[in-house]
Amino acid sequence: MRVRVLSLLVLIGACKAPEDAPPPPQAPAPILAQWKALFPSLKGAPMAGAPAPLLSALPKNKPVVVNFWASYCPPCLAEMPMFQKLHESGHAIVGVSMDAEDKKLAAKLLASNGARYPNLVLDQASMKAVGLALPEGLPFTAIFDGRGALKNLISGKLTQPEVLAALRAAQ
Amino acid sequence: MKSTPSKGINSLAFCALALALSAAPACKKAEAKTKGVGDNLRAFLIKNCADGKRYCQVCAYGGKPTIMAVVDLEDKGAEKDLVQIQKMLDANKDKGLTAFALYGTFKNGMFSPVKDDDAAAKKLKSTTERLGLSYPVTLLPTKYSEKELKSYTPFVDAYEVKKSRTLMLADAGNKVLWSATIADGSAETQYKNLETALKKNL
Repeated sequence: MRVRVLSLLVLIGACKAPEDAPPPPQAPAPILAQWKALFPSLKGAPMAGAPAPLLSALPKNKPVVVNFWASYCPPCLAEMPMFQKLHESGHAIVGVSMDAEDKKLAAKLLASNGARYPNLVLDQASMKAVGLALPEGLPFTAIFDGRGALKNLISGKLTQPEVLAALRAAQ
Repeated sequence: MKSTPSKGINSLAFCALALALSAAPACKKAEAKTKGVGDNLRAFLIKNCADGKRYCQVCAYGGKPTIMAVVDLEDKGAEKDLVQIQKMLDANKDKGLTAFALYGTFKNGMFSPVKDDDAAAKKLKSTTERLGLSYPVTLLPTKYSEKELKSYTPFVDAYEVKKSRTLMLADAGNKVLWSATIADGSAETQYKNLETALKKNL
């Protein structure tokens, strides 16, 4: 009997909808505080346009996923189709490229990976500041709640269920 | 239905076109290899000698200035470089400087994986401890899975490094700012040049 119940539980676990993924772990408080202080100073420019504060480019009144990426980072490029899907389903996704010196390359990679969600390229000073603050390199993703408060920071390549879980946890 | 000569030529032309189209991706221009100053550090997989993990060290250091040291496993002279890099790291910690050593073997001027990477990792782990290095000492992986090859170009195809003790310093945007192959006779001068490049760019 016990084996049957256990098998049933295993089966239920295996059939669980992918959207039910547990949220990624919460970033340590000191790192979150560091990034809360850093974000207001960051400047980024859209693929065509002048630099402006990054925070002003984030959509208002809904949770936002801010994904830091770079042309030299294959896991970052691999995430793009997933973020595009989320963007198409109505989620607010903003890409932030660390390719301050090569905006053309960033635009080319976005196009070749089918990424049409809003993207910014950090200026040199912001890129350096972000580099110093990155705890484990790229890719790196920040989650904001609907009131514009930074809720979590996640290092590494994410899956769609993980992003959805992080958004749910931020609400 | 009989085949006419013109139909035969048409089918031949069609076959040639189909063949040309199918071969097109193979003819795609390969990305230029990273050789030194002005190029970008490109992503590649490494095996970390401390824990055996395989990952992209260039990605893990994304956004930070980095020194990469390419070293032959049998090159004892390179240990001096690694210690020197550690000193530079300690002096520039607050500026986000990072570093890693990449071990392999040089065969006919080509940097290749060592035969037994488990044994090499063990050896390098003790070297790391003996030299007091706090940065990753890594190895070229001997094999790649198909999935890995879809994402990462092997080092030998992404870089043109012909000699042991080749050092590269890249900025936060991954552009190589300084590069040299250290020789015993001029090591001190080359270390000074690297320090100057660090002071100028960090």
